[in-house]
Amino acid sequence: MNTDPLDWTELRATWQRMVPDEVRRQEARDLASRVRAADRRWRLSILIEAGLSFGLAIALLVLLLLVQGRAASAPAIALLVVACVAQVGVTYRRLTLWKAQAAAPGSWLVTQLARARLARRIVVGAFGALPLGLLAGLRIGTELFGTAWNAVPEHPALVAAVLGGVLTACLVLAVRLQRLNGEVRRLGEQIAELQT
Amino acid sequence: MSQAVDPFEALLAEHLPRIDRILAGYERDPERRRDLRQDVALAIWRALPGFRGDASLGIFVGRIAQNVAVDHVRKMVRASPAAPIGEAEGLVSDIGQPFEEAASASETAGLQRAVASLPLGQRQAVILHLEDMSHAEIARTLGISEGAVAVRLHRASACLAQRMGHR
Repeated sequence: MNTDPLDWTELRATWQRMVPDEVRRQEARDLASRVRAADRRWRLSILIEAGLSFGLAIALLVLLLLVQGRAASAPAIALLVVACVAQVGVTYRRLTLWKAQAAAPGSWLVTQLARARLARRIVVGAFGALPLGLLAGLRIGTELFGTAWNAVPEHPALVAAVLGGVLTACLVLAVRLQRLNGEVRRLGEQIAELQT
Repeated sequence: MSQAVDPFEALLAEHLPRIDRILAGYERDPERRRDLRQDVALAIWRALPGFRGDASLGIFVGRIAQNVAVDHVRKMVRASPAAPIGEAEGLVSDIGQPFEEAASASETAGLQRAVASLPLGQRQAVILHLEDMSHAEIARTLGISEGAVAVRLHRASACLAQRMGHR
């Protein structure tokens, strides 16, 4: 016995009348072109970010190979190893997010938020560890720089390329993080606006 | 000379009304709905290469629109924790531009208000049912059993009947 109090066929007809089924070519054309542009921007930004991240990991690895076996102390080598692993981790995380984003329809904003959160964690983490890391960093940094400097006569081009690469990558990443920080702020403002 | 129609454009042109109806079930603000529509289109664009053809394109599009809309509602509810997820009526109701003409029809507006007042789980099932999806298709879209779909629709039916003045 049918106990449904509603006539779903009638309801369906009413529902369809809200936005009738009709082909909307011009609207679809505009939307498709906006979607393609947004997708291109997104892919490019991810490629740049993943490329820089990967480049930085390689640069750190090369630096590690360069100072290894020279007069570098164990903490300096350990710092480089940690930096390499962390950088590879960040790169892997970026690529995983990218893959998940491409595979999961509808998760675009979630991924944006995750990216923004990740960036904020990196920034906060970096500044939080600054006082502690400063003393050790100065000591180890001087040593690493000295060791790398000593390697200059043997591999000047390699050392210059590595240092140049690291500096450029750091600068570009700093700019990128700054932009992501802006995104976090904007999202925060949007959420606050929605709450009101 | 006729220009070749881009398949993605053709897909959007054909399914925009369905996308709009689904989004209208979850968001009342026309501006936000326009943003959501772009999010849906972007998600479709990215998901298309993985479309295996095991369901119709209409269902595929409906599923993505539904996921984007529900993500949106959940985010709105998280942003405003005072409103329980099942009672986020404020997120929906009047259709507004560009649907104001249709919404002015009392029957359509009444149905829309009634659907908007349903708890989220029931609303999902009802909207997909109104979009002519079978129980099996709704179950697959929502990741629940067909029995659960039937239960949700049964409960929603009683609520809708009450709110729309059916006996």
